[in-house]
Amino acid sequence: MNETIVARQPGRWQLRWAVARQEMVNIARHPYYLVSFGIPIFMSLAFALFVSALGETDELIVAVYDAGSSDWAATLAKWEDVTVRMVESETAVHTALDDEATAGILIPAGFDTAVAAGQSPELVVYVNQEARNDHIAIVTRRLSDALWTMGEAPPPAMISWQETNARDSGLTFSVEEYIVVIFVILGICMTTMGILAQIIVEKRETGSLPALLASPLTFGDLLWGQSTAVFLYTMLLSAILLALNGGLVGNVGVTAVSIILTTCALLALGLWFGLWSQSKNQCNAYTGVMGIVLVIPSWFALVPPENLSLPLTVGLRLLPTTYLVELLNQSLNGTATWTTAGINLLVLGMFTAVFFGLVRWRLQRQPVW
Amino acid sequence: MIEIKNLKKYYGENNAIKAVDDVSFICPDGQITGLLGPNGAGKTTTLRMIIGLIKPGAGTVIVDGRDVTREPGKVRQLLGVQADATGVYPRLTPREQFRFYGRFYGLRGKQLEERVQAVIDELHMQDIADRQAEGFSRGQRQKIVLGRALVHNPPNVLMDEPTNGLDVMAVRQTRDTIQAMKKQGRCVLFSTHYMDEAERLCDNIAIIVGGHIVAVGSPEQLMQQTGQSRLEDAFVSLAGREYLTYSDYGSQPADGQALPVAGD
Repeated sequence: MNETIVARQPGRWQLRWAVARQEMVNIARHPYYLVSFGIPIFMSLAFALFVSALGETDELIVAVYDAGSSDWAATLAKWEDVTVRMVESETAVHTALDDEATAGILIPAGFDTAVAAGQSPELVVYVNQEARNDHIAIVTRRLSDALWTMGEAPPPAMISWQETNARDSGLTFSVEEYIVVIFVILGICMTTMGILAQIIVEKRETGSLPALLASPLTFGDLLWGQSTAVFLYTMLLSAILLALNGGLVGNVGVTAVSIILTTCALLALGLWFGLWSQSKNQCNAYTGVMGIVLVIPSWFALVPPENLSLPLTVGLRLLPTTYLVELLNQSLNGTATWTTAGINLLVLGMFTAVFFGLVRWRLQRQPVW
Repeated sequence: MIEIKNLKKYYGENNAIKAVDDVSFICPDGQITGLLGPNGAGKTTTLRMIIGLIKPGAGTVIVDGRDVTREPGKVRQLLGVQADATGVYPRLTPREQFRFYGRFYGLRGKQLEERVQAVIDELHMQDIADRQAEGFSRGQRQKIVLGRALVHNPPNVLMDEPTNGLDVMAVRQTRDTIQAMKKQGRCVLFSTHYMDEAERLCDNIAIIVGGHIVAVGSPEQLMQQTGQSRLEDAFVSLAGREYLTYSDYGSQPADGQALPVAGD
């Protein structure tokens, strides 16, 4: 031959990444896959429009009672995106909280003098538990920033956080959190599993598998690459849904790990259905039914656990998405710590391990074609 | 060079189905070797064992000194495989498909782009190189499949019925490409059931029937051996009796019925 052989043997991860890149382009150019990813985002945006049409305000209101004409109160009035309402009494603060205010602040008399003297006076802040999580997060951050502008050490003031309008004891979710959970689970369940299974079946249906496997690529590398592409799209979709629905609050780390683990479990299911199905139609039917089953736990998120029948409770416990619902609940309302979320994360991890074990077993039993 | 020695692949209960049975032949560098046989003769199974997609029941395949069973990854680096034209990605352009496959063989950056462009030029694909393959004709898709096989510049090329279903112009272009590969010094092995194609292109022919090699030799040798003036007649003469004997999978030839293999 005139030319020298230029090729050298690539590493396994290079092969897998090459597949992932190609599949990402393939998904981005496929109308069906794009629509699958777009539907949860579209529904999320449509819901936001619907809510605003119902008259729910996006205004973030903070009621402030300044008992001693503090100069610091004037800095609060300069907050952007926040409507600061100066009221005449502590009672008026509570009235505002009952109405629509996210938070109420009581500035005691002599506050500025006490801060200047380094006495760290108490600052009572009421937080309306019925307010939106992202609004609460904004107020908390702004208040902290505003205080630290007054000095560094010792702390200028001691904030005493008080919760008002606590949610009904039976309900573990606010409606806003519920919406986040619904859309995130819908997004993951209706895309991850179905799209991965379809792109696996597609290779068999189009006859491209023999050519791929005649290269240094193995079937395992192909599945890795395809799973990686769908995983990255699911992460992007989840981030968009969280951002659109005010889900980037509370313990974002727990939220992220929960979504990653659930996505991995669903990728394993997608691999299973992709290996099992002989055609795209068959694949659509299986993953469609399974997707609906996996969404079910989100329907019961607003129902107190004690109101569920035993068979239903047991049935829900067999679905990995039940644990995602619980984890999102804890993480979004800020009560999740790695310790409290640990068991649910462990169970999700076990689901993922079992599902991947089944895929491995299937791969060992089933010839590539 | 590809050396196939005593290759066997049996399927079914008690290995009753002998898809490939003791197949041996050599494909030298700089020559075109044709694997001829009727439908179900074992051509595709033999090619798939050479590529390493199917593990042989027995026997060896040596590609440029490397055993496909022991070093499948390295052997695939040395092979370019043109499979069926249906395996084309409709939403990727030919250029993207060549890049995709080039990466599998370790090509990167400028080196990859140069090889992709070289393949596009070699196959005269400049006008379709950057169009998504959705709606391409069979001939255009066949070019993509061939380009993917050549992107890493392999010394050995395997083609499974490369002109199947193509129109006259596409057939002629494909045959020109095969001839060009021979001139470049590559070892080319292709399967076909078109006798005129084999007669025109092949330096060597192996005829496989019922999983058996029934004859090996140049087209002239096979015609001389059978006393025929056309390869098609020689093929029928060589394969006909064997085909009737082996067409029922699993049946064994009675002693003395098997035809002698050319070159034995």
